[in-house]
Amino acid sequence: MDDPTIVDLYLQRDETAIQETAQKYGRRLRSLAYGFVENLQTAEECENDTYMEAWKSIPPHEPRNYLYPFLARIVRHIALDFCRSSSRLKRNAYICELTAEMEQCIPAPDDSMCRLEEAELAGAINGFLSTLGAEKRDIFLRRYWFLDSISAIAFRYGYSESKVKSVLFRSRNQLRVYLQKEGYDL
Amino acid sequence: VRGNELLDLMELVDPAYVAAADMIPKKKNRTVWKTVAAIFCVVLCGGLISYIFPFLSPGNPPDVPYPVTGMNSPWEHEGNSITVTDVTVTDSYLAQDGTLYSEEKGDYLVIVRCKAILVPGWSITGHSLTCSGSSGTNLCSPSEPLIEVSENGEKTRLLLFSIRMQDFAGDIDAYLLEIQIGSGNRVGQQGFVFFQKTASTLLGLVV
Repeated sequence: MDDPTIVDLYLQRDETAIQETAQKYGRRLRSLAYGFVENLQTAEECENDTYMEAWKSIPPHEPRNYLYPFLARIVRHIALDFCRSSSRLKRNAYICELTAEMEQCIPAPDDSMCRLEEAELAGAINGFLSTLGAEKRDIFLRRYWFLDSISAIAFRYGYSESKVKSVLFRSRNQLRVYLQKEGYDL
Repeated sequence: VRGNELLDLMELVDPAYVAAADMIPKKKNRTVWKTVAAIFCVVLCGGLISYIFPFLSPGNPPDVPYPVTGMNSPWEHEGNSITVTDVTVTDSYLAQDGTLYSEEKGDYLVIVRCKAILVPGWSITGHSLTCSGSSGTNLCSPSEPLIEVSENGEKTRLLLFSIRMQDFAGDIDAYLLEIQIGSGNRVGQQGFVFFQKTASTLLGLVV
């Protein structure tokens, strides 16, 4: 079944929408969640929670042309929350590591006086990503969206780990400079 | 905004970018390029070294016009070896069959003494001498097939070549001696280049 039809089922509040979604994207979502939590049982919980969240979010959202990215975003959010809330998961330390890396992209330390709206910041990040080459952008997203390890990215793109680290380091610096140039004092 | 919030905010990036990053990338075959680059570097370095330090470069001096045959299989593997010990130019020579070769008769004679250590079953199957000079290149006639003499308790082969001077006008600058060995279907060949040193002796360059 194609994506617009599945979304229509959600809009009609037809529960087969969830079955169809699971049939079409279940494995990918579970795999994505497993990449975050590295625990099969937790990944399945994330997947099921994603269906529930999608059921609640459609409507008002109508992701006819981007159903998988929409679901992936939900599963990412849920899996990240799982990682942070459950200290049992080894991934907690990994998330801390990634958080520290993201701190390097922030021009100024946290300051409640000059907080940006999430939407504005998301726009800025998208603007920055559009300035990157396709492969660098993919590597950046593999690291900070899919939370892939350096070795996994290196294997995926056929680069050495040092090359991937170098690309990420430069991309983070570029993001910080980009945000400064755009006048974002975070 | 803290790092963890920024990490969360990454979920708001354009879905098209996420979908693109989720695609399996085409793996570039970098190994081939690395190999090609490595070979290119080795060739370049080798060329540079031989250009800067010509005396380190094996092979002929640049002014030698001869192709020189290197040591081919089975020379290295079978333990066969031929070493040229002496090359002389003489004005007369009495061959074993009683023939007298002399300068007076228009012969220009080159005698090559060489020590051959051959594995049993192998033998010298042929030899030739080519001389080169101002009038061109000529193949010398072997005057005797092969003479084996005992000198100082060691067996030495004498190779006698004669050049008909009327066929070769002008000075001779260099010689190329080629010796072939064989055993059944297996053959080997080795080349030696000589340059004129004095009127009667030649400097041997074994390659």
